Amino acid sequence: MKGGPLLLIALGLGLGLAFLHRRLTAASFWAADHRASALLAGLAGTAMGLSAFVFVGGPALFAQMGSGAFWLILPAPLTGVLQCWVVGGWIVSQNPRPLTVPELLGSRFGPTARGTAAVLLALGCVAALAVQARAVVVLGDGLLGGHGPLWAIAVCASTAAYMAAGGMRAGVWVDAIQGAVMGVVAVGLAVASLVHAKDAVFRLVASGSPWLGAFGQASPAQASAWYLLFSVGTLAQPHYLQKFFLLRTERELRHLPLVLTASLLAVLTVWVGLGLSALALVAAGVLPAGGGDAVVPQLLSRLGPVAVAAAGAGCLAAIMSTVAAFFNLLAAALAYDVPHALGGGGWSLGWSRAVTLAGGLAGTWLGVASQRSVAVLGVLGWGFFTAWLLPAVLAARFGVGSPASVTTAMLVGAGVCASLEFFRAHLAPGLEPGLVGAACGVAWLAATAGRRP
Amino acid sequence: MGPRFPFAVVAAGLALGALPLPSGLGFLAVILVLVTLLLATSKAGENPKPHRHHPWLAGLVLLALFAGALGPFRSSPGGFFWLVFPCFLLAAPFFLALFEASIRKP
Repeated sequence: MKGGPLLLIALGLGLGLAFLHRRLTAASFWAADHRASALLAGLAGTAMGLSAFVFVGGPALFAQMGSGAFWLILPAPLTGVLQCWVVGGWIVSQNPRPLTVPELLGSRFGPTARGTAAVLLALGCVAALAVQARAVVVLGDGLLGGHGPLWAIAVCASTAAYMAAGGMRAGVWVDAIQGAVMGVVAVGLAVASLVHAKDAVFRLVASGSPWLGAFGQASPAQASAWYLLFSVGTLAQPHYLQKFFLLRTERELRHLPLVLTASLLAVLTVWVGLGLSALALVAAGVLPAGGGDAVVPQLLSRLGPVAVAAAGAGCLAAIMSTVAAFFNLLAAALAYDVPHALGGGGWSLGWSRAVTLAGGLAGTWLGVASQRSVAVLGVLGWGFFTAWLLPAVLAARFGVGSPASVTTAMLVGAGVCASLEFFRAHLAPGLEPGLVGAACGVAWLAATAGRRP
Repeated sequence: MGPRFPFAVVAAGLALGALPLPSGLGFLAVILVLVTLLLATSKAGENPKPHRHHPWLAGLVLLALFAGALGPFRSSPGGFFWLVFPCFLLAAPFFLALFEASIRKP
C-alpha cells in the first residue's frame, strides 16, 4: 500500500474542502449543533472512545498475559449504562447546552475551574494524540506496508484537514462511519483469526494452561484496579463525554446505551479473537514470544492479504476517529475555553481551525519521536484524565464543592497521577496512578467542600 | 447524610482499589464505588435514573461475577470462558434491562 498515505491525505483534503465554505457556529464546530441521534452519537462515541490500543496494544497485551488482559475491557457491558445514568442525563438536561467539558465545569464553578480544566485537557490531548501517532508508526512498519512515520503524518494530516474545516459537524459523520467499519472489521478479524489458529487454541485450552485462568499472568489486585479504572474512568474521559454534547434530546438518551453496548462489544471481539489466537500461536511456537506489540501485525500477516487490508482499514478507522476527537477537544480547550476563562468573549472560526492544525502537528511530532510502547502510553492517557477529571465531574454532577476546592482537586489529581507515572517502573503491581490521583482529588473534595456552589 | 458522604465513600473505594491490597478487597472496592455512584444518581432529578433497588442489584451481580473469577475459575482454563460468557456477553443484556426499566414513561 505504497500510495496509501497519499490517498488518505487526498480524501481528508477533499472532505475538508467540502466543509471549508460552510457557515459554522461555535455549536456546529464543537458539538455538531446538538443534532445527533442515538445511533449517530453512539457509533461516533464508540469510534472516538476506542483507539489503536484496542486493535494493537490490547490483543498484544492478551498474548503477553493471557486472560488477565481481559480485565481492561470487562467493564464494557456496564459502561454504556453507567455513563448514561451517572453523567449522560445530567449533561443533556443542561440549559443552555454547554459545548465542551470545561464549559460544563465552568458553568458550575466559574472561570478558574474552566481554565484549569482546559489546560489539563489540552495536556492530556497532546499525550493522547502522541499515542495515536505512535500506534500508526507501529502499524505502518508492521502491517500497512511502507514507512511508519510517513503513515503517521498522513493520518494526522488527513484528519486535521477535515476536522479543521468542519469541526465536529464533519467529524461526527466520519466517526460514525468509521465506528461501523470498526465493528464489521473487528468481528471479521476475530472470526478469521480464531479459525486460523483453532488447532493451537484447542491445544492451549486442552493443556489446562494457567494463561487461561481468570487472571492469567495478572494479579487479582491488578485486575480489580483495571476494572475500577476502566469503569469509573469512562465518566471522566473527555472523548467519552463528548457524545453527550452531540446528542439531540434527552429522548435519544434512552436508546444510547443499547447502541453503545452493542457497538462496543462488537469492536472488542477483536481483543479476544486476535489476543487468544496470538497467545495460542505464541504458545505453539508459531509466533515468536516477547515480540511486544509487533505480535499483532505478525498474526494479521498470516491471515492473508484480504485480512491485512481489512485490518488496515479497521485500524486506521479506529485511530482516525480518536485522533479527530482529540483534535477537536484540544482546539476547543485552547481556542474556546481558555479565552473565555481569561475573560474574552466571542469565538473565531479561523482561530479554531488554526489551533486544530497546530495541535495536530504537536501531537504527531511527539508520537513519531516516542519510544514507549503503545500499551503503556494508552494507560497513561486514560489514567491521567481519570485522575483530574473524575473529581471535577462528580463535584459538578452532584453539586458538591466550591470553585477553589474543585480547582485544587483537579490539580491534586493530576499532580499525584503524573508524579506516580514518573516512577511507574518502581511501583508495586496493581497500584494504579490514575486511581490514586482520582482518590486524592475526591478525598480533597470530601474533606474541604461542604456547600453547594 | 450530607452531600459529602458519597464522596468520602467513593474516595475510600478508589484508594482501596488503587492499592495492591489482597484481591478480595480490591473487588469489594469496585462494588463499593459503583454502588455508591449509582445510589447517589438514583436521588438525582434526571430521567432516566436508576431506581432505588437497581444499584443493589447491579452490586449483587458484580459480586457473583467476581466471586466466580476469584473462586472456582481462578486457575482453570474455565476462567477465560467465565470472563467471556457470564461476565461479558450475558452481563450486557442484564445491565441494559436495568436501564430500560429505569426509564420513566411520560
